[in-house]
Amino acid sequence: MDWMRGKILLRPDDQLQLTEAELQEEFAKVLTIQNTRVPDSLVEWSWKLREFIRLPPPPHLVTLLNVTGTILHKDSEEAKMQLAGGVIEEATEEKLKYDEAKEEEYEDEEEAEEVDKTVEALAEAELEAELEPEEDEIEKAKPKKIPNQFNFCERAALTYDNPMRDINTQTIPPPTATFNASVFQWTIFDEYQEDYAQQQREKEKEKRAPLMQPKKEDVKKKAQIESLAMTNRMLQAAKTLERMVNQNIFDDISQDYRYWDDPSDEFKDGEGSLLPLWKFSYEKTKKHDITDMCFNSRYYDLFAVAFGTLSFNSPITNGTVCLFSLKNPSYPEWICSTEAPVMCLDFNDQHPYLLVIGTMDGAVAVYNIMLPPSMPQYKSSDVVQKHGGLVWEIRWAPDTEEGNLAFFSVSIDGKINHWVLNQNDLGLTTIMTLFLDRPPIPGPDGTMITLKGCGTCIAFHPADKNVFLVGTEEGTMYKCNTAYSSIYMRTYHEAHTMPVYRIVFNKFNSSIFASCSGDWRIKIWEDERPEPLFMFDLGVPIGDVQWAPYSSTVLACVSNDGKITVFDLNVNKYRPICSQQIVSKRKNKLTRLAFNNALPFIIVGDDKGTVNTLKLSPNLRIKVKPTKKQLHLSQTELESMKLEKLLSFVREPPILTPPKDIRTVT
Amino acid sequence: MKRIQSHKGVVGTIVVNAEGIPIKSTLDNTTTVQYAGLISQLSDKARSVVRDLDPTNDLTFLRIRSKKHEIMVAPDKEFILIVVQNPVD
Repeated sequence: MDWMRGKILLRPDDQLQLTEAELQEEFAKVLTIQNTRVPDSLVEWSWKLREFIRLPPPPHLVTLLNVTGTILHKDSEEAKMQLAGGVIEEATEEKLKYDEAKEEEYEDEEEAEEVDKTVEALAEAELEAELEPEEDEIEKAKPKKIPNQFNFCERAALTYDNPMRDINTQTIPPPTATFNASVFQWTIFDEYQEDYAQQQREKEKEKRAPLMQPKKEDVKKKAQIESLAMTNRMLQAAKTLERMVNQNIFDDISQDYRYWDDPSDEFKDGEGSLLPLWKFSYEKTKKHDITDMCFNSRYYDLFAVAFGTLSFNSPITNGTVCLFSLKNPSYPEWICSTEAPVMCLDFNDQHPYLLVIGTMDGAVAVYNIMLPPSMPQYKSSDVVQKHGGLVWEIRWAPDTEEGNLAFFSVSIDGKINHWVLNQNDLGLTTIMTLFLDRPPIPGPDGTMITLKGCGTCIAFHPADKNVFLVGTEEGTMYKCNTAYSSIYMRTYHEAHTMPVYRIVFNKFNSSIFASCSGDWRIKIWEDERPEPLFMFDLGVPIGDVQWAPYSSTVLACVSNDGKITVFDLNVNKYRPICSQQIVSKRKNKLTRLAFNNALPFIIVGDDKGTVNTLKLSPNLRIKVKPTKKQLHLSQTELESMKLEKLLSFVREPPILTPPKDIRTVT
Repeated sequence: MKRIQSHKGVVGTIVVNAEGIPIKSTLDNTTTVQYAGLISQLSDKARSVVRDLDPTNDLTFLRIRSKKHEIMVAPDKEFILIVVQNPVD
């Protein structure tokens, strides 16, 4: 805002304050031509004259600055001398001269050594001759002409400049492609996995780099393996799809199989029914009889079926073994055709992939069902190791002491053979020959022949693996021990009057066993008791009898009239609780039966190559309800208790002590 | 394959290779190409879903139930197997 205020007089603080009168006062000043400051009469004492002498008046000149110049006047002495060629007396110049002189002295010496040798030397000599007068000059200090430092010219030379040239070439542009992809978590994961695998491979390569030399054959082999793997995967996928298709087709049956329980059972006291489920058959074995069936111990839905023939004048000369799975009721999982009709088979419990079969021509073979069914793993030799007749039943035995697998077979030739699976072949031991307890009869050439019984079935004691029961075509049953080959531990004479088709031990009480026969009867026996405990007469030949795996008192049998009969001794000791027609009475016969170990259904085979699956209704699978006191007991214990209780009613009074062990020596 | 085709209610079976080109089919041409293209896309997507949820997991089979059909798909790295079935009721 100061600029707006106009003119402000600045005055020092200590300015005198004058009154108006003082300010008005005038002072006159006069200018003269003389310098008033210069003293006009300076004197000096002179000791020589002994008086003051007057000094000349001081000059009016005042020296402010004094600089010596380098410019010479043209006419001055010095200038003239320079123009004529003056001497430069600078120290540096002289020093230079001195050095030169020294060098020349050197050269002098050299010359002395190699004078008059070369032209060069001559030239040098000339040079020296030239230089010598210079030396004289120095000595004389002859003034040197100074170059005019204001008169010189600068010379510069320009080399040729290569002209700049631009050369351009164009390469073929690299091919480009547009690439789009979205990254998922699994893509990253896969890359990492691959990278890791690659690293591992490299490590391995480093380890055995010198050994490995990739060959063309290897590459070929690899390709083969890959294509094989793909075919396998393709087959696997096709199989699964087939199962899916089947599941859709048989959807209602599958639902029934798992979930349907006959609700009418609640009102039918002590009677049950069987619900038909799938039917399994194989196109090529429609005319075969089903001679044996066996469930796999590992996969409850998998079972093996032996196709053979039960009539001896049938035209069928070949046999087949099929593995069926409940998951695919339309086609077998595994098909193996054999030269002779298959009569029996058995799955190994410890090694569920091993299947042993016995055929009509007396041969036995072991198959590994994981391998393609073209060749058996073991096969008995056709000439040396062979049964004399058809093999009726075959059972896996406990392993030998060396750890080899073994099995027993019983044949119509009356021999019971023990086979051992050695490394490469089958080892054969005849455990027992079933000689009949009859006097020998004379043969055609006069020799006496002891008649042999024709073994039809065999059953091993569940607890004591050495003890087994054999049924024969004559209807006799023998209790034998593998340790004594010539002695029967017990003979059940006239156990049946027709061939014994099956002997089975109870699953819960190993001293109880059932037998069935062509004489229409089922008999239930107790060990060490010559008379049966129960006897049922069905009026038709009975093909097979089996104890149920879930109950100690339930047993089922199939008969030639196409009926399945189920007994539960706990419910009714005299009558079956279920008797159901499965196949038509006239056309078909039922041959074999098997209980599933896990689920409540049975499979029955008939003589037209069909396996029927039947679900047991709730009344057929009644389990023991534990009383309050028995809650701690397991189901097995309860079942055996149930059977024991039942048996105590049936057993004859204790006055009849069991007879002594009669050993029949033949 | 023939066996599958012979089953009840099976409308058709198609084998598709990794590029989505039908190799073998029992259906007519147009339907086959349509099925092959769409199903291979769908199975890729489905696999992606399964793999994304858990990278160590993988898709093995795919069943598509529709009002008229059931399409069963077995996807593999190198091929896809498709079976179209009329569910019988």
